[in-house]
Amino acid sequence: MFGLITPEGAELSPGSFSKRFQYANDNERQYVMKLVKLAQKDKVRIHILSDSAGNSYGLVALSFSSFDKDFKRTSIVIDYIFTSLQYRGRHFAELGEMTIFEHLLGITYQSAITIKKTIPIRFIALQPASDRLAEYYMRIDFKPFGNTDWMFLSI
Amino acid sequence: MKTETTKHIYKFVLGARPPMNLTAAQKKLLDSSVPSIKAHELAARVAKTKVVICP
Repeated sequence: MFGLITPEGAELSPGSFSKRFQYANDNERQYVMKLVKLAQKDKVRIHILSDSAGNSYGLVALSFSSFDKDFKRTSIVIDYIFTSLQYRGRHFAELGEMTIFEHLLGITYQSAITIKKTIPIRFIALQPASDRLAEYYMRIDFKPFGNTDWMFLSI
Repeated sequence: MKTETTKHIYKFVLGARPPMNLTAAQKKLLDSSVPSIKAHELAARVAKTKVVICP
């Protein structure tokens, strides 16, 4: 069975945290280490998709921001979505034949809808890590934000 | 005749924040956007999987 956990306290020790996953290269590992430090400072929340055996499949790191100083255009920011190397491209029956990446993105949107019922959040914002990912995000209606490195989705 | 188009190359910076000094066109772009049916469908698929949210 899959579960979503939000590590805190000692669970956010960079060394042991980074060992939860496999990486394609050292850049990815460094990103995860930096994310953990941001989480320790309460700047992002990391949510890990794991199973009951303790395997970690991927993570999404979320934070709050706005597209303006008046906070009229508030947004949830997807700081990073990451799938552990060995699970990339795999579809899981327990996840409705979705990939880890798709599921984490869906969880984020689902959470955004729930949060919007309590506080006025209007958008999900992200910086795609590559042009290939930008094309994927556009398929679920993320829009490029003018000539910036950002994309957004209305909630 | 060849038409050249400029493709934006995305640059990712971990921990960066969205731009806050918006032009009128950017405000209009945000304010005129509507929620995505495709994203709602994705969230609905996720809801059916019953992934446990651990406290």
